[in-house]
Amino acid sequence: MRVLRKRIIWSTLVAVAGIILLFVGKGGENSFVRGLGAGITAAAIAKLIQYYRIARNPKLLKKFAIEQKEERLIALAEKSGRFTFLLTVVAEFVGIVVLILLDRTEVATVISFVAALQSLVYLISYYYLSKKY
Amino acid sequence: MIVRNKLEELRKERGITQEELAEALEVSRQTISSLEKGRYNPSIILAFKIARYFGKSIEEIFIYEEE
Repeated sequence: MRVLRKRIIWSTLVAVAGIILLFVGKGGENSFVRGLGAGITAAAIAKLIQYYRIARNPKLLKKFAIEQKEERLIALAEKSGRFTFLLTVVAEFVGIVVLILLDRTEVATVISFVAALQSLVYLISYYYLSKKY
Repeated sequence: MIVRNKLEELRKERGITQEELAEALEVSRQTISSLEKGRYNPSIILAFKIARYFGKSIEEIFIYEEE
């Protein structure tokens, strides 16, 4: 199944990225990078095990195939994505204000750029989708 | 607006489980459960699939009510 193959490739790449972070963090004293690498690797390996089990079990494979085009799950993912976007923008705005108050203008500028880019992507994709549908 | 449906009633008339109906319609059992409880309104494609499965029209299964 194509979707499953794509997911396996993606999870493998994420696992490799996690392992790289793990080794990069090991050399220095950055425990955050090491922890992040370990976390990413563990999550990717867990996903790979799950996909391996699905690939070997026809019943699970059929369930997985149904879930990929399941309209309710797609609707839930879209709703969740909208909520996440809104929350992220609000968090960025609060972060910018707090950083300015703390006189950390450089970081505030970076977050402002990220927020502006996010809003721009939203507007472009909205315009594109409104033309398409 | 409220959309009520007779899905549970029709399913029980046929003597099939949510799992069996889900398999026939190629959706998950949770979707059938949500539809029956009126928590989720199906797309027009799924509504047609349900109607065809029970050999009825969409209007016979789904009832649109304005609040």
